[in-house]
Amino acid sequence: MAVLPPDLTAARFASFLDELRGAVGADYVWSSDEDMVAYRDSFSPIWDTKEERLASAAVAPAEVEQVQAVIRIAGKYKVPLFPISTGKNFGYGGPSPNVTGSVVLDLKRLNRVLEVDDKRHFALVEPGVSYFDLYRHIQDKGLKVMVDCPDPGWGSPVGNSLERGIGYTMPHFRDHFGAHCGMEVVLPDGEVMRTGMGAMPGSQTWQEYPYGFGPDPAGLFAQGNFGVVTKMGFRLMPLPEYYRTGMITVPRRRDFVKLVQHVNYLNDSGLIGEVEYGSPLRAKMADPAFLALVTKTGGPSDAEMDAAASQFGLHNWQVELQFFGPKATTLENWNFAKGLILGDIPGAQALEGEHFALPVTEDQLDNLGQPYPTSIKRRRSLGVPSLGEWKIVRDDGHIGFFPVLARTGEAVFEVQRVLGDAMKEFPTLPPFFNALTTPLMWHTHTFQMVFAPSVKHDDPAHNAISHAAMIKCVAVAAEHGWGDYRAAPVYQDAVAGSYSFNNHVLRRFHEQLKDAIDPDGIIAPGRGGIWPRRFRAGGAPA
Amino acid sequence: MKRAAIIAAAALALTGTTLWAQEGPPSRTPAPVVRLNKADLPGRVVFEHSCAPCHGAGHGTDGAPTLPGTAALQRRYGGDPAALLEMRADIEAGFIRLFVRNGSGAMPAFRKSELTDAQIDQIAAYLRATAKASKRK
Repeated sequence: MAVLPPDLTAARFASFLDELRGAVGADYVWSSDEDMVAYRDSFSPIWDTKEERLASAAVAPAEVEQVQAVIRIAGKYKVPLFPISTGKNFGYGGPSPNVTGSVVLDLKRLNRVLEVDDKRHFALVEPGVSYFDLYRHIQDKGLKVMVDCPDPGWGSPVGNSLERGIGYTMPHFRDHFGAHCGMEVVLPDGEVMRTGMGAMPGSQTWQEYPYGFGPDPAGLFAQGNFGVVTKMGFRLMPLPEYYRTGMITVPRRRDFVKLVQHVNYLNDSGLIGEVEYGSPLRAKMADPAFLALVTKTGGPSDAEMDAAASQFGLHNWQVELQFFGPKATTLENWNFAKGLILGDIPGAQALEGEHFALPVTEDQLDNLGQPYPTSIKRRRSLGVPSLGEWKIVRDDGHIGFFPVLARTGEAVFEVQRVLGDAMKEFPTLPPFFNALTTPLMWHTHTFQMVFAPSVKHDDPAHNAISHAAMIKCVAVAAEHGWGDYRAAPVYQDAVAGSYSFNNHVLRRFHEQLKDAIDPDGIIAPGRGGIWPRRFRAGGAPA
Repeated sequence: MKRAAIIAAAALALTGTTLWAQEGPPSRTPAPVVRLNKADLPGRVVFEHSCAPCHGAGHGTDGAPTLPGTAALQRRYGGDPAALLEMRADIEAGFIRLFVRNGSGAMPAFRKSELTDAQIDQIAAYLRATAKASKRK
């Protein structure tokens, strides 16, 4: 399994590692086969194939100055570094690099919560801080702010936001990169830069005004390879006084169009938190005739679905709503939502859900008190990190494709039909796209849908199917203007290639920038589909 | 795999609880939390931070009877040995290291930057002491 960095001899590699040891200490440089197992992507669909991307070594600095030293040493030897935060980007590559032979720059030891302010509502953290760490810090100090966390709490706010990950509370906090405010970056030449107000010596507003003056380069460091982020600020929601839930169902298939419009209004007006769309009819998918209907080629007609719903005595769609804020406000917002939707969609029904004052109790976190079956995950909805949702991982992991689509019912129906039909080429995979597949409203202003076939370490044939299906999904979706939002290294070129307006000018612009500041590709060559001149010359290395 | 089984597995895998939420969660009454006599050793904090979110004694989220790691070990061993790591007096540090450094199934490997060999030794000592103390009750 041992590999070398690109264009480096074994002897030069040994010298390089010696210099790294001098910079960070011998205990924090690893290159043995045994130590490098944990730097593989255990969710990889190309696991144990010759295409798998493997790192040659890993180095774990504990200070920004050590990060600078590592980058300068890598520049001297022209060794690509692949930065990771907590290394938990599973489904999107985990800790493994784009280029085999890269050295993982493991930032887990930069693990300080530098500041949390519950009067001005922000945090400043290092990349090795996990959501668990930040939550514990807030709880231990009794601070009145809420973290917006993804499902698994072991991830890093820095890493997750740089991957444009999401959470589950109010709209402007769910987009984790959008909620960041100020960052510190070590550039490919080893210099330290701060963005926004952090660029002004003496500023007290680094985490309150993200832009400073002039162009803001912060976006280059998300899904990019222009530097190594060593500090990052985040806006935090003040701990709300009250939490309230409710469900609304609508009877006919076409009612989904109006339902989406109303929920968009509620979301964009800041009246609700994350919503969970669903269908009561999913309970009937074990019925072979109904399963055949919802997965039929070309999709079922509205009339067919309405007839099935009538036969089962169920509504076609539901949405679960969540409200945060003062108790009276949450009640009025729920009443407003009911009035808006029930007044416009004949036959719509509303169910009152649980509601209680915050902070939440352990019993309330268990989420066993809803008067109706619920799809809301209580912990993540209230910013309490956990690993409970790891229960959804089947086999040895999965890959993920989450196309971005318009927030309309029509767009949802089209994705159901187009990708449902396209994936019939892979009959052993579950029918991820069918007539009951509902959208996710994770990011603030868009819909996404999910395709996540599993991987099995001992079944390369199964993995090959998942891999081929993933590639086809990216291609077919792109033909319809639905782009993936995040991808593992093995898919990043394909996804980046689908953002091809004006002869790929966006990619060419990124390449110009990369060539200007990192022509040798010291920082994550290939990440985000951006290759520096050195690697473009001979084609992107596999 | 039969088509219906694929659908059920897919819905669970993809949307978490979305399918069964329509039918009612699998358990509205999680299994009672096991009462442990937790050893007051340095490994306790390490275990609680690094392992317990999946392998702890608490019940799972949103109606799941146990946490995912405990559920996985229950499926693997059928209860013998115990699925709950804090009830395992037989686990040596080398055994833990094998799984921590290589991963197993859905559990990824853990790097030395996040969990040192010395911390794994502490976890082993904590588990042995906790299991022995808890079984005396």
